[in-house]
Amino acid sequence: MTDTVLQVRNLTTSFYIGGEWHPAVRGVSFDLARDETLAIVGESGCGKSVTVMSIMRLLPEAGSRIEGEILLDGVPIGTDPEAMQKLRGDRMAMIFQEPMTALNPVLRVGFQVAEPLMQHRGLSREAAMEEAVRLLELVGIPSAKSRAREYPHQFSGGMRQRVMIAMALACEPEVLFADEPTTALDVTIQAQVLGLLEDLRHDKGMGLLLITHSMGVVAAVADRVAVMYAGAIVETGPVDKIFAGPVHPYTEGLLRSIPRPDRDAQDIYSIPGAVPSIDKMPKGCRFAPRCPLKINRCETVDPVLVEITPGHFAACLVRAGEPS
Amino acid sequence: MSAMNDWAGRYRAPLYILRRLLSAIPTLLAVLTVIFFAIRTLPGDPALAILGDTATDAAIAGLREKLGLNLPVWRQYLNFLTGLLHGDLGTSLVYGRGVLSELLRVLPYTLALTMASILIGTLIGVPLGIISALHRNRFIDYVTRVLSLLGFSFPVFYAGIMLILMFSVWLPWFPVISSTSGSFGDAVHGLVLPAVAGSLGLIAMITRASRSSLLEVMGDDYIRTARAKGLPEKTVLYRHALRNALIPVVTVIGLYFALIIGNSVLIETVFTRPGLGSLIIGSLDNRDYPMVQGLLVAYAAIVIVVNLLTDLTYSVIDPRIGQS
Repeated sequence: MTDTVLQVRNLTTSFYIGGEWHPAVRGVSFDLARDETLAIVGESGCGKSVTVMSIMRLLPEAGSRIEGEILLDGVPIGTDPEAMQKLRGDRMAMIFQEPMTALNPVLRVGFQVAEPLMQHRGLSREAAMEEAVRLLELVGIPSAKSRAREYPHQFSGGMRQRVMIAMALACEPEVLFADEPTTALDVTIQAQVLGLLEDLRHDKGMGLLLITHSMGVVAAVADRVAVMYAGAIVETGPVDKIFAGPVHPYTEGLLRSIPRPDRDAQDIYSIPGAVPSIDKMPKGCRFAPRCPLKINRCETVDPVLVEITPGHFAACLVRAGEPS
Repeated sequence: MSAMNDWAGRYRAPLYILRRLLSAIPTLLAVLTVIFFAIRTLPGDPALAILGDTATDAAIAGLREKLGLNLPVWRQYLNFLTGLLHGDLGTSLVYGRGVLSELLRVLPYTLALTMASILIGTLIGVPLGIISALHRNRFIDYVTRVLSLLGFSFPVFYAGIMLILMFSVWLPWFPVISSTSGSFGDAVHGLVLPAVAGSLGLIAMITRASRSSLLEVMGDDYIRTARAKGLPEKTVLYRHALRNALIPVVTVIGLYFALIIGNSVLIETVFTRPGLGSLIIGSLDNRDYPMVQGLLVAYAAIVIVVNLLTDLTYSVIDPRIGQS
């Protein structure tokens, strides 16, 4: 594909815990195209945030190790900290989950939006502030000119998340990472913010990598989805294919656990068991202990992604088999 | 923005100051009451103490009458309060002059000493705390922490004597006795050693407070946001972290101000400096009750004013304060 903007190859991120290195992300590979939304979905602790933080190199250096290859526009990135600092906020930007704490409480909102412009575009403070007001208008903040002079605590959660989006968009990045951008917001605001992200992605032709634990969000906005479990992608493909015919039993479980108005609350399916902790990963397939389809081989062989139909991959010995 | 909001925004600071000033009144009244009755419980008859054992009963009775000691306690208390309202703190028994004028004469010396101590403490303590935090658990951090422990445990009078010994006796750089006359330069010259003696504990305290506060702030979400914007680490530290980290440091300085002013009594004695401290020691020796009472009132007023200033400093640093 010529319009691929971000390629991630065999990304493995390990943390040093109790005298040993434990991988939190294992051999994750994916591509992201311009004007495409890829959703990474999974339970808390499955490594979806760590994946993005590894690409952005925002993990604390001590106690973490990042391996694999990341290409932005076909050029490898990530090895030189100074080069990464210049990329962040310029060609790759990020929105965080908690808009209440992700903005600096003692700096004016407009200034925080203007900062990347001064840093990466070399704009003067005045010019950057003017541009910040325009950006705040773009993300739908009313009376942006006066609100730019206010502080984050004077904004509601939804408005703060809009500020975060304006800040991330300041330098028109090629790739935008959004880590659970709507999780902390009211349901009515969630749809607005997701809609805004989608519109802006399309207008600017960005690649949007959306992290979420909600299959509902995936269905609403994503083009493709990658389902992560215990640090690895277990199934990936176009959203319609995966919703219509999930292959991996974990994906199936996630889809069945979406609450539906035609069923009672106690009938909502929940996957038995919990995600294994990082230092107690089972051998073989990591989902095996929770899997209804488990066979003996699952406990010894770690399945790899196998192409089922074009663009649709799954890693399950029972359903997808083994590569020949 | 609504008109109400606009109004509240414009008058936010003055309203906040007014509210804080009003709330200081009951505090001051409580302190005055405690001081008044504490002085009355001191053993011995002031009139007897002033006139000495050889005085005649008639002379003692006359003086008691003159001092208003024959009045019921509640009348004395009311007289004390009405006097205060008129700016009358009574007349010194030793100097024969108004307590207030005597107090105002020496007040600048004590204020200069405490302010210089705080200035030195901040100018050295904050950078040391930053260095310590940035080199957490490395050699320089351990050295700083050991030094600040020493600074804490060094009694201020001992530090004063050692400083005089080293920098006035062995190395004749500074005067042994602070000069009260002479030029501004002389005054500053004489202030150096006392201020250094007074700042040692403060340096230790501010170093510790700014170290732990900065470490905490550096883990906050908005610091991650600042890094995600591609700001260089220096900008992250000085623009985003430091201002937030200084808020608890201001609290510490405000809280320990009472201790600093208490230390000034010892320092003024060691360095034979004029000031509230040496005045109160002299007045206690001479049983100059009105003077002691006036000085205690002055100390209380200073501490209350400093608390007020601390609160106002917050509202300058932290835009969230003074809002509700």
